[in-house]
Amino acid sequence: MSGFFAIALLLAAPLLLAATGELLLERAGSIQIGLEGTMLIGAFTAFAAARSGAGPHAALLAAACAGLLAGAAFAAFAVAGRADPILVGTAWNLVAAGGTAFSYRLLAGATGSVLEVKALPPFAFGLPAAALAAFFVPAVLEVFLTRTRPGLALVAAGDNPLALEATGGSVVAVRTAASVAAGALGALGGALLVLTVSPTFVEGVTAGRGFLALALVVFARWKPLRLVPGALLVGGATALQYRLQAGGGTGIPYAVFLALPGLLALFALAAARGRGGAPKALGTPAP
Amino acid sequence: MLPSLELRGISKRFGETQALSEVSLSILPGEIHALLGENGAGKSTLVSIAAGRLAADAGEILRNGSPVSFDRARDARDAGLALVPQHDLLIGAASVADNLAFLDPNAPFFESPAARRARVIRLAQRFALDLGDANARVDALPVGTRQRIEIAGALTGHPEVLILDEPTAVLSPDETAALFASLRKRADAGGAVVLITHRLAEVFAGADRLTLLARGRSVKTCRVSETTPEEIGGLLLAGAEGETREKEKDFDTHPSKHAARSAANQPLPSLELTGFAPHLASAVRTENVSLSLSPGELLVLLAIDGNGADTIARAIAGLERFSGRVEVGGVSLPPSGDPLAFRAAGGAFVPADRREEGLVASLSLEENLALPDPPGRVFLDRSAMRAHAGDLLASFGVRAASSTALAGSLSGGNQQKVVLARELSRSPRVLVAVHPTRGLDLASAAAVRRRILDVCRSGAAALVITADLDEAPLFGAPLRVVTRGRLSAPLQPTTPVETLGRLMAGLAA
Repeated sequence: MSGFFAIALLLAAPLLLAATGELLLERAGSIQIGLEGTMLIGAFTAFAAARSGAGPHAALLAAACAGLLAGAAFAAFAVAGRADPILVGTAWNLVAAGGTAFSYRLLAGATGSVLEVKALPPFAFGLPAAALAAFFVPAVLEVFLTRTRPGLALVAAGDNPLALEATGGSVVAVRTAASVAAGALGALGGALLVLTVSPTFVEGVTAGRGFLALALVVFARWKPLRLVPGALLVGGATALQYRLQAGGGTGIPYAVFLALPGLLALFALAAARGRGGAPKALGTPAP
Repeated sequence: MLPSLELRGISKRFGETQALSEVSLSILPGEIHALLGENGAGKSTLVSIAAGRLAADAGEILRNGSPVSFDRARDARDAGLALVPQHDLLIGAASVADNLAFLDPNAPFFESPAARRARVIRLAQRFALDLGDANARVDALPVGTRQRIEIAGALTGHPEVLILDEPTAVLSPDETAALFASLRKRADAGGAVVLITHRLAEVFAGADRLTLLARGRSVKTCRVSETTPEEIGGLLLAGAEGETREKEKDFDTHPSKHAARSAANQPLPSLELTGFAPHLASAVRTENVSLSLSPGELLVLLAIDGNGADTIARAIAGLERFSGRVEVGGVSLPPSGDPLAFRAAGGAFVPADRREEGLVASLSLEENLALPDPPGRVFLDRSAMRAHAGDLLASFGVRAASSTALAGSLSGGNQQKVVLARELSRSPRVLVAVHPTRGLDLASAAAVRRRILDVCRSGAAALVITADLDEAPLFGAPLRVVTRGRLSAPLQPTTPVETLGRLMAGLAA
């Protein structure tokens, strides 16, 4: 059972990183529904770096840098440019899916062979340090939001942007910073997939985890610490799904198992009814 | 002596409305300068420009004699100006403690929740303001408390020029006195204070100079000692002349299908509460209330915000759950709270927060006025809406470019008039009005009181909640003071103001 728990943690970690970043951005009042795309960019960057000789930690760092740029690019359109974040996010998903698939073929050729990379070494409980660290990131965000000055400015940007402007702050600056941080966290989440779960890149490797992370933010009611049980639930369901599939002979089509984490998220969300806790200015343009 | 702040020839236009035309204002160090004028005269617009929150179309701003330009609020703040806006700008989702940390320019980077709570207690004591529970979420607090938080926040930054936009409208008499004492101390130390208020008594008791605005122009600037309340009151009324007074004469209640229900000769009480208590976890516990209002009867509940009077009103209107019985014209209302049942029984409600609850800011005036019962079967009957709105806007003296203007674009006082116009035009059987004259100028406030009395005369019962000690007796109706959820015995309108003040503050009379 400890093996099952380790796998559940390993599967929860990427979700948790991506969801924490998204929560940060949403508390600032913007929303990136292209999180799936950001995770893909992170996954591909880590893969490409590892293939070109970088160690797994360097690959992780490369993914984080790509995420910073991705967050800055999103902010340029959706925050500073005041374009509709839903439109930008939708386009973002499409461009990232196509772009990473295209780049992968450039890198790997149309061989169809699986290109493995070196995974992150285990640190404790058979898990790499980066995956374990993911479980502390929501706590760091909680402290940031509740105990620091910039944390308050960020909450103001998401709740009452005019209040932030009135005290001399800049909503655009705060949301841009949040978007950059969210981009880095999302890309790190994607990189963890490639560097731990299956040490290779395939097209669409994120398999909807970005969307699950978006749902987790709602499930957590925009409170960072509540992301942890949510991510563990989905991670556990995914691990269970692998186990059931491997068990075989149940007669149940494997697609049902694949849908399990998504269904679980849907039920969890339905149980946690309403949209209470959402930042008041979520998705509204900066004044 | 160089003025701390000087505005020269400031003009500002919003769409078709010329809000300010070449207004000049000079604020000297060490003075409390009152800014007076009827609703929509441009007072709030002027101070928003002074505080860098709005750009002027023309004119210049000088700080200690040198021209400055404020591209954004931060520039004004860095230049030593602080503005307490009429409607607070706080983080609703955050606690009182977090909001005051947010407003304190010298708050440290890292701060524990305990340190933030300590700041609340410190500020509450230093400025003698009741800031409520430090851990309470701000969006659950009454407007009065929110205003006090905003004032305390502005004072923490030690600004050289402090601008307050109607700070006393929601303060208790004691708090108003304490605020003026603190403003005087600030002025004596060389600071400058600009104060927007509608209360002449405050101006003559506490201010050094005054400037009177009317329709976007400055009409008079003088020392308070050189004029009299009568002269200024006369000028204020003159400024509103033709807006409210004349149109009032031909005011005719809009014919409506509800009219039949408001017949005065009913034997039943219009509003009856039996063992009534609102259920609201966060609010003050209200003791069981029993009262009965006959058709035509008016009762004024006088209370400082946060004492439960507003909750009583909201529960009657069906916006909170309650225990006990509420009957409107003999119809018992469901205790789970049903605003539609209240309205169907002939109830009308004027909420305290006109911007959050009274109006839909992004809809036009005619749409807002038609909201309770829009004309038309499938498609809206726009021409009926326009005609209805036109009548009401004219008879209530609402200053708006047209009936298609967005409700959010109006000044606070004019928004309040729109809410009243909508509710009173229904010829209600029972009117529950929370702070109906808050933020209105003298002429408009008097007109609103007269209209409420008119509705009573035509057979409606009215429950009016006010925090304004000076206004409460003006209705000429019995008063009951609400303190910490408890109602006093009925008092005559002739009860001395001092007695009422002591009751409001929770002291024995």
